[in-house]
Amino acid sequence: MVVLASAAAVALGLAVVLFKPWAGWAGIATEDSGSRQPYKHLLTLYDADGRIIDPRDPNARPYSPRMTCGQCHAYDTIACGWHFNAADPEVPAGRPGEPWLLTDALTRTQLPLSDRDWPGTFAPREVGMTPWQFMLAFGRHLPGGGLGEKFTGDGDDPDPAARWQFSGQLEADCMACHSADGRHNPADWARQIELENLKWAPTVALGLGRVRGSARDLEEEDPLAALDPAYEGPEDLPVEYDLNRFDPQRRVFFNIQRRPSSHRCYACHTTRQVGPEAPPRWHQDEDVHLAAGMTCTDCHRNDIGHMITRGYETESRDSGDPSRATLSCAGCHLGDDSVNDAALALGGRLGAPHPEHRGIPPIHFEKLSCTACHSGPWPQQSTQPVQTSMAHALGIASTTRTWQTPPYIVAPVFATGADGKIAPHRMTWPAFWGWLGADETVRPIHPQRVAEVAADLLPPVPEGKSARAAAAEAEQPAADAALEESVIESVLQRLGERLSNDEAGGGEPIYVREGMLHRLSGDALEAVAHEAAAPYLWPMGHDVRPAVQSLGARGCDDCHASDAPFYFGMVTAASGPHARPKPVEQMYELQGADPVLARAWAVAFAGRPAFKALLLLCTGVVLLVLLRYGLAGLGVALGAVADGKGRGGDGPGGL
Amino acid sequence: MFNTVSVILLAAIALAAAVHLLWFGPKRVPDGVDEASMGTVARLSLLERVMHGVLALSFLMLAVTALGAEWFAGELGGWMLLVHVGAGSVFAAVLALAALRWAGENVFAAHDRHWLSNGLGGYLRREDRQVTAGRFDAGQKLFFWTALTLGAATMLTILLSVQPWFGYRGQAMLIEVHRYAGLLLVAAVVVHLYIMLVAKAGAWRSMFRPRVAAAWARYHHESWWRRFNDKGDS
Repeated sequence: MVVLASAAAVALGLAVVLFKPWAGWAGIATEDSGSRQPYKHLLTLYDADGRIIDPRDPNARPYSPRMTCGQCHAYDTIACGWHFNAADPEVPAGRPGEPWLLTDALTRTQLPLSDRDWPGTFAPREVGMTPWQFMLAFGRHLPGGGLGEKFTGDGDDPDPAARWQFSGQLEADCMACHSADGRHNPADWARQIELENLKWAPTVALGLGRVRGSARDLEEEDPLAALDPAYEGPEDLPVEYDLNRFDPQRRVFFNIQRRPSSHRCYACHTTRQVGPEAPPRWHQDEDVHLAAGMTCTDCHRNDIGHMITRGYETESRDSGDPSRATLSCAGCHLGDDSVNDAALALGGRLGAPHPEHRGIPPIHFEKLSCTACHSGPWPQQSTQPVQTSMAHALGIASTTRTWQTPPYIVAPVFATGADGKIAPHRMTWPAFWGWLGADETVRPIHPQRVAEVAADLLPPVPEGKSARAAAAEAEQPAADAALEESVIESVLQRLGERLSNDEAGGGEPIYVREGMLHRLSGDALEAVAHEAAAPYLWPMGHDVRPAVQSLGARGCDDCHASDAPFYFGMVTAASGPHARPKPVEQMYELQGADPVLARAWAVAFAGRPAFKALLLLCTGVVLLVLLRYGLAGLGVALGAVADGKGRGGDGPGGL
Repeated sequence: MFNTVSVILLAAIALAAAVHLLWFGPKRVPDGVDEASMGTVARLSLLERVMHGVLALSFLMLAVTALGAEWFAGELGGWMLLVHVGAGSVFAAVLALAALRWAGENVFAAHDRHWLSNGLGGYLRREDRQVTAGRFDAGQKLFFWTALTLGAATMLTILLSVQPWFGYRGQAMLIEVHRYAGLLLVAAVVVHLYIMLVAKAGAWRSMFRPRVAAAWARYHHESWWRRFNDKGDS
């Protein structure tokens, strides 16, 4: 009896612990208050070990989003979302997106990196970049999670240089996106990454407290130190919390919005036009959707899994999620019959206008994406340089960033995308040193490794220009810093001589730039085409222009003219950082279009008014003839019916 | 859908033509007529023959580019579309001229009822039997008005589609009407071709020569030949 009672008690205890029956009514362990009113987040802070933080503790530790936000929200589910899962090979890559660009001025390297399987990018590991290095290089514009919390520093990372045991994990920082006010500072976040203060970054970025020092300076403790009576525990960086942020119950108000504002998205997704021909910032309009009062997340939606809807047309097919079909441009504005929900199938979500596209031949909708006519800066005769948050660390104050700061990205490039439709893209030309294997595959060499063996051969590039100097430079481009062919030859020879066969993997050294692969042929430099040298392009969805500023609004010759940028605009390339951009291709080459055909269409469209007039005249004549004889025949037929007989003769009205 | 319909339609016409050829055979001037002694008569003027030739060539290009692109490329675009548009301009212009030139002569007459009710001018009878007809028999007239109507439909749909009047659904509908009208026109032309090249023996000569054999003219177009002959112009 006693045994049975004990077993029942244990079972009841387990059930209480495992199923948390209080969660539902107590309002905790739920993810949603259920109300449209924003939930007031007065939160107790927890550190990474799940201990409540006392802000007065002189050894206070940083707060942990996983343990704090995770009290109510499914952190592990959220951390599988699009912003965190790049390194997960199980996640479909989807349409190519913006890569990380590994840039190095000395070695003239700009190399697109991504753990996603986007053709034209290299995985960081292929360049010898470890997760630790990747996090330090690009964590400034990562929201944490993913690789940032893959290792604990307990010997689980094979990278001997990794210092996770000091830096802590870079957890997904919910407030990076969901902060409703300006308290979360991306620049502070970036600074903490630079200091290797990964686990402190969410605390400092939110302004909850400050931390003095850098985890870079922390050292392994002496194993015998614990025997010392004066031992105070392992060295750490305590957080000095801002006590004004805590209420009497030691709770902090987190000003959270469920749907992040566009300003939060802009922290990592800003793009700006730069260069001498870029319009001044105050002349540039924002996306028409935002101007209308929408936010990014009105279209780029997600559920608790945080797989953000990217919004491209074939996404519902790629992701196997049909509910995304009406969150693309066409799906939202025109509807999608494949959607089960009758209202959504009609389109017009959030009042999206239903465009008629009057007079536009349907072939345009088969050949072009919506963005081809509606998105990005108005195309000019030559592509223009742009800078992005991810590539140029926009959002982080810099006195050295100029319009020529690498990497060199241009837009808009009208190229055929993976879905077979022409769309505006942003584009960069890879420039890097690497190995060409016997199977013709290319493996890049990390620029740091190149510098180690050939820095003396590479002419330095002036960096660190002041903003004023850059402004002057806008009128007068800097000297071309592209490498001379003789330098490339020397570096290739040096790489071949100095780097071991293990490192080379039996391959020969090469240098890629401007769409060509350079290799040594005897003592001479030979440039050959290779797919690894092809430009990397990613489609651009924004900024969407107003309908009256669409391509074609002025007529067909916005595109169908012999000088129309859509076909005949020049695509410029810079052969690496600070190299002077030069035209290398025309748009039609990236569309796989026949230039003769494009010109023939351009000429044909010059005669379009005449064609319309001719067609009107001819159709009118034929219709009049049909009317004239049709009416006569009808009259005769009616007469015959009335007479009860037909009329004879070889003239009109015989029947 | 369009590809299936077009293949079935044209295959059905080819099958029907083969059956007709095997069962009825071509209609030709009966043996025993001394064609040589009857001489020749003027059939189509140079202008008419050029007009007909240009119309035929431009239509051939239209049909080949449209059906070729639909069948083999899945869509009409690129060079095919450019050629299609160019040929379409020529076709439209010449069709209008043809309408003006031939409409009066293609008005149905009393003997056309006779032609139609006698096995379509004897083409659907195995025995050789002359059925009177004017300069153009009722079959040619039917073809003329069919071609003119379908030609007008194809032209009108394109004319409307290049105006900013219809949205994308309307545009798509216009293009569908254009495609199916064009397909029906192709079908009509194939039937016309079969009759002119095979079923009506010797008819093709009048497309290239100014004069035709008087015996042929009397047999196939007796009413016209008689009137022509009465004028003494032979």
